[in-house]
Order: sequence, then C-alpha cells, then structure tokens
Amino acid sequence: MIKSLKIKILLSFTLLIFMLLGAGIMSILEFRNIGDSVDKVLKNNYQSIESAKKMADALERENNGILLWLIGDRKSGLATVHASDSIIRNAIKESEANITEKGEPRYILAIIEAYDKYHTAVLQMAEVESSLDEFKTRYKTEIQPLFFTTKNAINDLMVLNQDQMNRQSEIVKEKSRRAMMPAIVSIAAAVIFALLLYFFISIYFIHPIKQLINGVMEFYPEKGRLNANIATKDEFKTLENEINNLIYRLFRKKGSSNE
Amino acid sequence: MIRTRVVIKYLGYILLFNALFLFISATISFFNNEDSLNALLFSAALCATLGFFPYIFVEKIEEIRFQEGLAISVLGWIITCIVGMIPYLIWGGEFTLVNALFESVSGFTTTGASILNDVEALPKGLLFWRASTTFIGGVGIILFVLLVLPEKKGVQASFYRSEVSDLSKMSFRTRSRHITRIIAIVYFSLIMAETILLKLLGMSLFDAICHSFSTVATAGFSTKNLSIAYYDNIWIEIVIMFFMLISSMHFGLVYGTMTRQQHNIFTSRPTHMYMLVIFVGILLITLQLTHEKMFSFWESLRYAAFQVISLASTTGLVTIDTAIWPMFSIILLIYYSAQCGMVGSTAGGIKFDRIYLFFSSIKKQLKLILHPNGIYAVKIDNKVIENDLELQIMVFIILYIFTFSITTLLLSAMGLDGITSLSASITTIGNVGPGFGSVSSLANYGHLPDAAKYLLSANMLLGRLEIMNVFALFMILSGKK
Repeated sequence: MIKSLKIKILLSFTLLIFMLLGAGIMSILEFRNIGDSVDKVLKNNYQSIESAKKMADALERENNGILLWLIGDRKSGLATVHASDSIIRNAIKESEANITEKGEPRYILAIIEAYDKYHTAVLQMAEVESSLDEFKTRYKTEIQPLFFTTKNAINDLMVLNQDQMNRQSEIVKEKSRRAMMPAIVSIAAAVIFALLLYFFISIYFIHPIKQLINGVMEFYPEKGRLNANIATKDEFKTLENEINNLIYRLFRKKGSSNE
Repeated sequence: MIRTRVVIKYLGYILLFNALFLFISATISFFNNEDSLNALLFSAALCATLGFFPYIFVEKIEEIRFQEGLAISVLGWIITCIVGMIPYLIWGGEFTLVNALFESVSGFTTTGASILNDVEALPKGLLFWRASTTFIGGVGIILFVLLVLPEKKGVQASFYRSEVSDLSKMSFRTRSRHITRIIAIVYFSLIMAETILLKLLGMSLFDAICHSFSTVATAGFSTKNLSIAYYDNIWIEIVIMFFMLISSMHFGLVYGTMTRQQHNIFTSRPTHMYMLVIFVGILLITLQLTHEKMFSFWESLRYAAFQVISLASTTGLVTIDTAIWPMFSIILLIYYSAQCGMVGSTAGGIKFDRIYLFFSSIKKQLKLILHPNGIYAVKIDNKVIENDLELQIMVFIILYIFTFSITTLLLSAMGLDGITSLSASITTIGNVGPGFGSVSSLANYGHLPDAAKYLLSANMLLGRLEIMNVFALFMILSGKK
C-alpha cells in the first residue's frame, strides 16, 4: 500500500503515460508496416506490371512491323521488328531482375520460350523469298498463333502481378484497420482510466479534505481533539494527527498561562 | 451497500490475471514470428496497466460483503470478456467488433461456439489466447484469482458464497477454504494427464495443450477447422471422451476418487444416474444410426458416443456433422445440450443434479398427495435437501427455460429457422457450443445477424453466471432489498 500522495499521483500519471506511449508506439509500428506494404506494392508488383505492359506493346509493334513488311515496306518493317525485339528483351530482363512472386520465374520462362519461337519464325519468313499469298498463309498458320501464345504468356504474368497487387491492397487495408485499433482501444481505455482517476481523487483526495473541513467546523474546545475519521495512512492522516498535536500544544500553553 | 473501490480493486486482480495469459500468448507469438505479437502485447500491457491502477490507491481489504462478492463475480466475468476481445479486435481478420466479443464470451464461458470460418488461419499466439480463455473460464476467473489472492480468509469466504453454488458445496466434503485447492488439483491434474496422452497419441504439443484446455474446461474450441474429426484417430477420440466425461462430474467426487476416499464417483447416486442417462443416449442413437444404415454398428457407436458425451458434458468438440442425422437423434442431442454436466464441474447449463432433484421433488410431491400427513425429504447422496434449496432449484429451472424460450423467440424474429433458433438458444445458455440447423457441429455462428450474436453472447454469460446471480446483482444495484 502506497502511503505518499505524491507517489500515488506520480504513479497514476506514469501509468497513463505508459499506456499512451504503448498505443503510440504500436500505431507507429503498424503505420510503418503499411508504408512497407505500399512500398512493396509500388516497387515490386507495379514494376512487374509495367514491364509486362512494355512487352505487350512492343510485341504489338513487332507484329505491325511484319504487316508493314508484308505490304511491301520491307525496310521499315524489318526496322520495326528489330527495334521491338530489343524493347521486349530489355523488358524481359527487367522482369527477371524483379521477381517477387512465387512461380513468377516459370511465367517469365514461358514468355521467353514463346517469344523466341515467334521471333525466329518472323526472321525465317523475312529471309525466304516467296509470293504475297504464300507469306499471308505462312503468317496466318505459323506466325499469328505464336503471336497469340506470346501475348497470352505476357498477359498471364500481368494477371499474376495484378492479383498479387489486389491482395496486397487488401492487406494494406487490413493493416490500416489494425493501426487504427490500438488508438481506438487506447482512447476507450484512457476514458476509463480518467473516470477511475476521478473516482480515486474524489475518494482519496477530496473526501479527506471534506472530512478535515467538517472536523474543523465541528470542533469545540470541549472535545479536546479533532476527529476527522481519516481512514487512509497518507499525508491526510498525518495532517489530522498534526492538527491534534497543535490543539494539544495550544491547550497545554493555555493551561500553563492560566496557571 | 457496495464499496465501489473494493469492487474496482478486485476487478484489477482479474485484469492482472488476464494480462498474465496475454503475455504468455504474446511470447508464443514472438517465438513463432507472428503478426499477432503486437496485438497480444498491447492487450497485455493495457490489461496490466488498468489492473495495477487500483493498487496505487485502494488499501488492503480485510473483508468483503456478500453483495460486493456478487458484484465482483458478475462484473469480473463481463470485464474479462470485454478485455478478452481486444487482441482479436486489433488483429483483425474475421474479427469485427461483434465477432471478437462473441468469440471472447464463448471462450470465457467455455461455450466453444465460434464465428470463425477458418480457425487454422489464426496465428499460434492468438490460438493459444483463444484456448487460454477456455482454461481461465473452466473453473472460473474468480476461483483462479482466489488461488493467488493475498487477502484474508474473510474475503475468500465471501467469494465462495457468490461463486460456488449451495448445491455444489454439498459434494465437497471438506471445509470451504480447501475447495479452491481441490478444484485446482483436479483441474491441473486432468489437463496434464490429457496433454501427455494426446501428445503420446501423435498430436503436436501445442495442439495437445490447446485441446486439453478445451476438453477439461468443457469448452470445445479446437485448433482445427474440422475439430477432432481432423485427426480421424479412434484413440484420440477415446482419450478426449474420457476427459470430457470426467470433467463434467463434480470435482469433489473426482478428487475423492483420486485420493480413494469413500465419497467418490463410484458411490455417488446422481453420478450413477448421469452415466446411465448418457449410456442410454449413446445406445439409442447408435441403434438409430445403424437402423437407418448411415454407418455400420461400430461406426455408429463411435460417432454417437463422442457426440453424446461431447454435448452432455457441454464440451462441443466434434467428430462428424450431426446436422444430417435423423430427427430423433437430433432431438436426443438437443436434450443432452439442455441437461448438461453435473454441479461442481466445469460444465454449464441446468446441470444434471438439478434435473435429478427436480424429479425427486416431483416424487416427493406425489407422495404428499397420497399421504398428506407423511414427512418426506428430497435427498442427494443421503444428505437432505432443505426446502429453500429445493425451491431455489425449481426457480432456477423455470428461469432457465424462460430465458432460452425468450432467446428462441427473438432469434426467430430475426429470421432464423426454428431448429437453428432453438438449438442456438439452448447451446449458448448451456455453454455447449455447436447446435443444429445452420449452427451445426461443423458450421459456425459467423453468418448470424449481428443482433443475434449480441443476444447469444448475453445468453452465454447468463448461462455461465447461472442467471440468478445476474438478476440478484441488478436488484442490488437498483437499490431493492
């Protein structure tokens, strides 16, 4: 049992500070966690999606290059094919350097395989001299299916990262809820704490003061001593005792002066 | 007159006790590197802070009054359930405010009803906290606090009056100050024995501890979505059945059996009757399941025995979905959910002893009609039951039936079907757990409307506090004498 009022007050506020600090630290940790998750979404998944988009755009351009080549503009057609090839391979390298999901290497390998077949077929077609009808048939039967296979493989990689991005955004949502909860719980706890503190202050501070005031008001010299009925053993009890000592000394002094 | 500061001080004890288990759960989370660590640690710190606060001011208590004991007991349960939901709420997942409250109340009242669709998604630290709530609730937070209470005997005596029923005290053939010790010895011995056996039968230590907590506390929380059906191991089922049954018997009698005293489970007539009623239930359900060609005889016996013991003991662990069983079996199981275990055990509900005394009382009344001048007494193990206690039991049974009837009515009004409303009311007030209909053994309470979850949470608390205590406290607080 703590007897000093000073320590009682100090401990009460220490507990309150401790509680608020705890809530603050936890919220900071959770918000930092959110930051990390957002960072992860932006850096990892978003980057992978961007690379996949680059591949898809370049693939479309490469296909347009073949069509240019087919209609007779062979020089610019081939230039477009080579330029697009370079973009696709760079984008693949970017994806390889940014593997974040389980199974992602398998998806990238599928793109590489499909694209290699497609690009080889395109180059082989360009090397052989044939009629326009033969080129058209070859494009429809050989190149176009390989184009769609490559495009689907790129889409699969994009979907994988998009799904993960959605999942991450759900996690971020959940984390932001978690970050708020300690604050909400702490507010509720602080309200309860404040009510308790108010209750204890009225019982252990206000009430003894009132008891002392009543004791002094009801004091008559005939009684000989002040009886405030202080139940605690803190400074209020000491004060009650000291008042009684004072009364005793005054009576003694008065008695000796009368003599 | 209730001294508020005294009540607050003891509520502080209760919070500190909860904080201890939250710290243990946080430690488990820490060693498993789980994301529930912050939630558990924060909850523990909060509980410890609020629990320690009254110590700064309130002086040592020499004695507490009966009304204060009652207030501490009732408010202690309510506060425990509220702080118990904090880690769930902070962790998130399936835990909304109402879901977290439901799960917490269900744990502390050892009901074992869950709102979780995927129990296995919970981190180990949180699973341990969930199991701890049943462990604490098993013998009651107040009795746990009594074990470590540094206060005077006058304080302890007052708690006994409010926490241990008069009927329960009768079978403790010892002084009241020894009762806590006996309960603790039986409780911890059973948990240790079951943990060792389950571990030897192939469960992981973590699962064995959690299932032992759940079984001996007759709660029913499992660490697996399929409950005990997950293990599909007859020996595990036999061990759990044994401990469910023994934990639903009077701990005084179990202690008497352990220490080879004359007054034990083999010499107690209500215990014989309890076993007989369970045996009849198992037999009838086995015969029906076999007759309906749902399972072979031995399979029927296996499933029927587990389900009857599980519901009769108010545990609620499951090995099969009973919702598809024939109606006769379902009605029998609903009866066992209402009958529940024996007084002085960890089981909730009406308690078999009360039903036994109810029928003894009817027999006495019939004799009095035939022989108006005769003197007849209702006895339990050769001890005469006083008229006041007899009346108290009658009133309790009527109040119990009235409460679950009102709950059933309200649930029906919320749009739930009849069997779900009835079984949910009976199993929550009886602290059993799984019901029938949409809250059957392998389903959960997650899909119910929020209002239904609040209502059933209140039902679980009423059941655990044996209804009368709550009404008595309301009367005291409203100033009625």
